[in-house]
This record gives sequence, structure tokens and C-alpha cells, in this order.
Amino acid sequence: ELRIATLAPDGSSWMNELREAERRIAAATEQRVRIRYYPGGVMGDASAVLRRMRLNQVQGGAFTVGDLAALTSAVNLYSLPFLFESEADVQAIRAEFDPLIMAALADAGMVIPGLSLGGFAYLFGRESFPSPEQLSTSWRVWVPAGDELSRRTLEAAGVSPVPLPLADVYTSLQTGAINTFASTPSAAIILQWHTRARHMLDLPILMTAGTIGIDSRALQRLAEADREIVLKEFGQALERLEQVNQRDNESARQALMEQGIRISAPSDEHAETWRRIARDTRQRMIESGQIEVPNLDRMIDVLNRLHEAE
Amino acid sequence: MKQNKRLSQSIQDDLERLEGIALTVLLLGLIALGLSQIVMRNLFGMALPWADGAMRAAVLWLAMIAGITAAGRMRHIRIDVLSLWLPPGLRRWLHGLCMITTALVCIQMCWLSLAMVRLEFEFQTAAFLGVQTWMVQLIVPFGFAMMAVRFLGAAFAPPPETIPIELGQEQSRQDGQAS
Amino acid sequence: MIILIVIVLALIGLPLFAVIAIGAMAGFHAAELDLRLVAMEFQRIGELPVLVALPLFTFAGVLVAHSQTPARLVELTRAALGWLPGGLAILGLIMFALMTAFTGASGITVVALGSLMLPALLAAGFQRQFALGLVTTGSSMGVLFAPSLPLILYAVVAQQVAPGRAIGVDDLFLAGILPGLLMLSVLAGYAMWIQRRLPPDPRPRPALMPALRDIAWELPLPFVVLGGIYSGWLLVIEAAVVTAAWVMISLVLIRREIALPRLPGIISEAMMLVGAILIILGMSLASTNVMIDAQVPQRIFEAVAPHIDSRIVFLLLVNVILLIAGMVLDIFAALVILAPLIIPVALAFGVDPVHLGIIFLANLQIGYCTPPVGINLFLASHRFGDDILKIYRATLPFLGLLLIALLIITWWPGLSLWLPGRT
Ligand code: NA
Ligand code: NA
Repeated sequence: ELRIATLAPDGSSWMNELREAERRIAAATEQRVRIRYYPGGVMGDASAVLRRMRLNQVQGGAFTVGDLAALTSAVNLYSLPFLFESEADVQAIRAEFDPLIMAALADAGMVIPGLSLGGFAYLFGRESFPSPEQLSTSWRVWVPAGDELSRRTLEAAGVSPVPLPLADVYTSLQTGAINTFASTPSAAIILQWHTRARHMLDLPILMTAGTIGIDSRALQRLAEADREIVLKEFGQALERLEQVNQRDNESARQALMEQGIRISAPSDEHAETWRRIARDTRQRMIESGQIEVPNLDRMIDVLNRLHEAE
Repeated sequence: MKQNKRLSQSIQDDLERLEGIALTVLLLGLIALGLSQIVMRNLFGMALPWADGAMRAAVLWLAMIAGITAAGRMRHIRIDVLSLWLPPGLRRWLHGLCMITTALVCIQMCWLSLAMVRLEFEFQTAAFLGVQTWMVQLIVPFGFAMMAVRFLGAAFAPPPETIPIELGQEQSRQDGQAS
Repeated sequence: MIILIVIVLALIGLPLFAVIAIGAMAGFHAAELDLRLVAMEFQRIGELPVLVALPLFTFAGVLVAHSQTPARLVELTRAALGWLPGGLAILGLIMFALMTAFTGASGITVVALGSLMLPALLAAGFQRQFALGLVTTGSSMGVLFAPSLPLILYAVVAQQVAPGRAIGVDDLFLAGILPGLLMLSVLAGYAMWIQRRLPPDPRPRPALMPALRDIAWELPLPFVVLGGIYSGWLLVIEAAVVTAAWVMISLVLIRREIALPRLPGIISEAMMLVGAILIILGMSLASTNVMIDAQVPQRIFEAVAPHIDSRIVFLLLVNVILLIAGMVLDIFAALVILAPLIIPVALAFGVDPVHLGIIFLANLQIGYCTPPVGINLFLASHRFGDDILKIYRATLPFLGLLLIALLIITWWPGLSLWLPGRT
């Protein structure tokens, strides 16, 4: 039996796909491998689930890529703000870099069957977004607690980053403790954050991604064939989820516009300013050892070659 | 023997005073931090990103230190319905049994939370500013160790006069003495 | 077997946190889980944001209890409503509710406000029997009003067992208002009915303006804090910070009623209340986790569902269980032990967790004054020197009225759910 904790509630597309995977795994292994889910966050947030995995209370969990930075710095590669310019950028590097991240996590004791992209996060706010130079500290921008790189990038842009746990974002938007946030279109609607925004800046910030992480000790206890079935089924569930996410984001974008949220693209010059600020901050932090991003140079080479070819 | 007792009493008093000071510093710090955060946010539109973490840590420390003080004064919440009707001899014996059991629970909790601190040390997550989560959590094993000592001491003292359970009790005792 | 031993130990006076700890450790052991999980759960009392409000509100309440503010409140009450039949009793009930809502401890209310209110009621011509009953039951009013500690604790516990259900502290704060007012007005109506046969207060009434001026520093506080919370202008934690700072500055620095050297003693006293509750909460986080792990609530639901055919029957059953628990258990114990078990079952029956919370707290509020071990009964007996049996008798009519209010609250979810907009 594998026990897996998720934040997604029962009935969500995540849980639906995971239950489907559970049924297929039970059938394919002739009931040798049973999966039991603890959905809806009853086992706590990602950091709690990582500790519970260590103490063997659960053997796996659903995580975002950012959650896994506690295990290996290799995942930072996919959390860098203003690095990818389009979905095509991300898809072009995945074949080479997904396996590197999976290998680094496996070394840290966690096996992931793949990654499921959740779409780009964009900036949402009450005011329309001016050029980066005109931003001031009155822009109080949510950053996920612990995401130092985003925090410093925003600081360098001259706004006030406010680190908060996800659960506090909605109330903080209500009280005005924050007035700007970054999110995928579909998450902004699901979490009702969009009711506190009037504008969306159509500039991809970073690619969100989620996965199922399973303790490698628990997998070792399974027979070789069963292990492969488990990984294959979860991998397929993640692929299906990626397609669901893509559709959800497209329809969410439509819904946002219908609800009167102005989606405006920045000028090329503005976009380039954001990228330059992010690049400078990244380099400063890497040089001073505040953050490690293995394989970054290699990935940037690939991206540059890709952009030159266009 | 008598001198020993007086010495231990004065150590007890010093400790309680120290706990009182620690609680005061923590609570006033909590208020000051909260106030400055409200002022910064509303007047200057800025946020102290580390303040929330620091305030949460202060609550854990307040709870554990207050728990030590409460152990010394028999202020932990108890249900204690039966002992009102028990003969004094049996009551005294059962009180000792309860206190020793509680001390054992505290020792076990001390041990377990020390192991958790060790695990947290491996995770190396930051609580606020330069302070790591495991440092914040060190108060838990320390608190349970001190509580164990207090409960062991209470096991060999006579049971407290039964005023029922929980809150408002200190106040009523003081008022009772005054009148 | 272990359950039996734990119950016996609890009844002979084993501190509650140890009782729950033994239960939790036994649970983790039986589930063949690492015992370090108990410590991991316990440490979360340092990670739950809303708990920051607890020490701040409690400190404010205890500081007020040590000051002359309760005496000033009683003066103001006499000045403002001495002329109305039952007016003193009515405003007294409102004072009780405010005091209990802010301190989170009805025990403090009995001691600090009740002992001033009792002589005032007697002087106004109320019979001792009635006055005792009013002070004893009235002091438990306020549990349903923001920012009462049991409301906050219920939200914390509910968020642990049903994190997906968006059970916000602010929802509970809003939900408690109408049911709380219902309970208040039931008692107030009773006081007016009793008073109609009594001669008016023979004592000269104090003048209103000086009484108002006397209390100018404290009076705005409930409006600022409650207004701030209910309007969404202040987060719960910010409201707690403002309350603590306001009370400390006005009583210690401006009025100088409490000398600075007394502060550490008062802070220790207040923090002991908080520490005792938080340590119990920490242990119950562990016991809750092992119950979730073993899927105990699902099993309870599967066991009871075939025998219960409607939501209302289920809720009545919950009432019976909670009233019995309220008789023998302390309010916080009942909350942390029973809420994690009942909430998931109630969700399966389609009960809104916020409505359930109000039912829960209304029950436990009544439990403050139900024989044999309602804390208010003991404190009143201890404080006013009356025999405990006399106090039992004095509270009976009030308890009867509160039970009627409880039935209305149970039957009519809209009363709780209309304000937070969950109907
Ligand atoms: Na209360
Ligand atoms: Na009770």
C-alpha cells in the first residue's frame, strides 16, 4: 500500500486523474499495489508532507516544483522568473532537462514519474501595469513564502514583495496588505483572487509545474514489474493533467476578459526591462552563493540557440 | 535539611521570576512587532517580510515557557471530578500517581521533540531573518524537560486545595487572600 | 483498554494535555507509525497564524480584569439604564458578553465583573436567587461573539480536519452574531419579565456624563476592534495587537492603575491561561492527525449513517452528545477532542461546518454552567460564598431558556449562515 497526500480536494481534476491512476494500478498489478489518498490537505502543506514522508507516515505526495527545492537545487531551473518567453521555449528544453531534474530528485530519495506543466503565471493587480521604472513600493506584490529569487527580483524592480503562505493571499488582498499577485489564469479564478484584480499583464513570469513524488525506499519494496506499472500510470496521469491544465487556462483567460479584467501586453521594451532586472538579480544571487541553479548555463545556451533560429 | 528546602525554594522563586521576565519580554516584543507592522503597512505601504514568522515563533516560546510556570503552580487544565469525594489518604496517593505519569509523558515528549529538532536541522529551513526553524523548535524539548522536573516535584508535595479547573483561578485566590 | 485507563486517569486529575498525549501516542503506536509524528504535530502550535491572536487578547482581558475598568462599567450601566425595567440586568448581560468575548475565559468574567454586578443587582431589588443565576449563566455569554477564543479554536480545528472547506475565522465571527444575540435576548427578556414586579432601584443613580467621561479610554475599544474585524479593515491578528496595545497604554501608561512592576505578574498569569490551552491544542493536533490517518471519522459515519435518516436528527444527536460532554468536560477539552470527530461526519451529512461550529459553541457555552462540573458554578459558589446546590438551583431557569435558544439555533441554519453569506 502506498499512501499519498495531496492539497487538491476530492472532486478536483487532480484527484480525478489520480483516482483513475489508482484504479488502473490496482487492476494492472492484480491488487498487489493499493494506493490510498489523503486529499484536501489533511496531511498539511508540502513541507509537512515532506517530513511525513521522511517519517514514513505517507510514501508520496503531490508537489509543485517550488516545493521540491528543499530536496535539490536542480528544480530551481524551472522556477526562474522571466526566463522563458513562451510555452514553446519550455517545451523545447524539456526533453533534455526534465530527466536531469528527475535524476537529481531520485538522488535525494524522491522518485517522480514526470512533470505536469500548470501554465505560465502572470501579474494581476488593481492598477494597469506601467513600465517597470514607474513601479514604486506602493505595489505590494505577493510572493510565495520562501521564494527568495522572486522576492529579490521584485525588490530590484522597486516594488514591495510580501511573502505569504498561499492560504493567506485572499484575506491579504481583501485588507490591502497586498494589491498585486502572480498566478496562472485558472488558479486566479479557482481561488477567487481574480475578484480583487482589474488588470493582467500579459507577460509570462514563470512556468508552474506539479508532480507526484514517491519515496524511493517505498518503491524499492515493490517488485520491479509493479514499480514500473506505478510509475507509468502516474506518468500518464500527469500527462493528462497537463492537457487539462492547458484547456483550463485558455478558458480561464476567456472568463477573465468576460468579467471585465483588462489583459494588456507590455511593449517589447518593457518586457526586456523585466527580463534584464531578473537576469541581473539571478546573476547576483548565484555569484554570492544565495542560490544554486545547476545546468543553468547549459539551458540558457539552448534557449539562445532557439531564439536565434527564429 | 531545612536549609536545603529553603535553598530550593529560593531557586524556585528565582526561576519563576526569570520565567516571568521571559514571558514579559516575549509578549511586549509581540505587541511591538505587531504594532510596527501595522504602522509600516498603513503609513509607509511597506511590509516586514519576517514579522509573521517571528510572531508565530514567539507564540510557541510563550506557550512552552508559560507551560513551565503553569506546571509549577498546578495551573494545567484538569478535569478532577472524583477527587472531591475521595478520602484524603487516597487522594494524596492518586495525586502522586498522576504527577508521576505526567512527568513521564513530558520526558517522552522531550525525547520525541528533540528527535524532531534533529530532523528539522537536516531540512535547514529558515523561520525568520537568520533564525532557522530548528532553533525556534528547541524550546519544545527544553520546555517539556523543565515541566517534567516540576511535575516530579509536585508528586511528592501535598495535592493542591481543589479549586475547580482552569481559568480565573489565580485571580480568585489573590482576591481571597486580600479579603 | 488504553481508552479505559486514560479515562480513569483523566477523572482522578491527570492534566488534560497528558491525557490527550497518552491517547495520541497509543494511537500512533497502534497504527505502527513513528512516534516522532506526535512531536511534529505538537510543534505546529508555532506555525498556525491565527494563534498569534490568543496571547494578545487574553493579556488584554486579564489586564482589564485587574484594573478598575469593571467597576467603571458597572457605574456606567447604572447611570445609563438604571431606569429601565430589568435595564441593569440587560446591560449587565452585554458587559458580560463583551468581557467573555475578549478574554476568552468566562471564569475571569465571573470573578472580575460578576462580583461587582451581583451587589449592584441586589441593590436594584433583584432577589439573590435570580441575581446569582444571572451572573453565573450570563458570564458565559460572549462565547459566540468575536473575538472569543473558543470561536478561534474551532476554526483552527476545523481547518485541520477539513482544510478544503474554506472555514475562515471571519466566517465564524459573523456566524456567531445572530445566535449570540438570540441567547442574550432570551435572558434579557426573562430579566425584564422578572423585574416588572419589582420597585425601581431605590439608590440615587449616578449622572451619565461623568460616568461616560470616566470610561472614555476603554469605551471606544470594542467599537474599534469589532468594527475593524467585521468590516474587514483589520485582520484578526492586527485587531489583537491593537487591543493589547490599547489596553496596556491606557491602563498602565495613562491611567496608571497598574504599576509597572505588577506587569510581569499579570503577564505570567495571562500567559499561563494561554500556555495551558496551547499545550492541549498541540497534543490534540497529534491525536487529530492519527484519527485522520486511521480514517476514524469515515468509520464513525459508516457506522451511524444507516441509523440516522436526516440532518436534523443527526444534529439533535450531536446536541445530546455535546451537552453531556459539556457537563463533565472543560470547554476547550470538549472542543479539541470532539470537534475533529464530529466535523467530518457532519460534513458527510451535508451540515455546513460553520453552522456546526455555532451549535458546538452554543452547547459548550451552556456547559460552562451545567451541573455537576460547570466551571462557572464552582467559581460563583467559591466567589460569592453560596452553597453549590443553591447555585445549581439558581441557574436552572436560565439553563432552560438557553436550551430553547439552542434548539432554535440547531433547527435554523440560516440564523448562523445568513451573515457570512453561506446560505
Ligand atoms: Na469565552
Ligand atoms: Na462543563
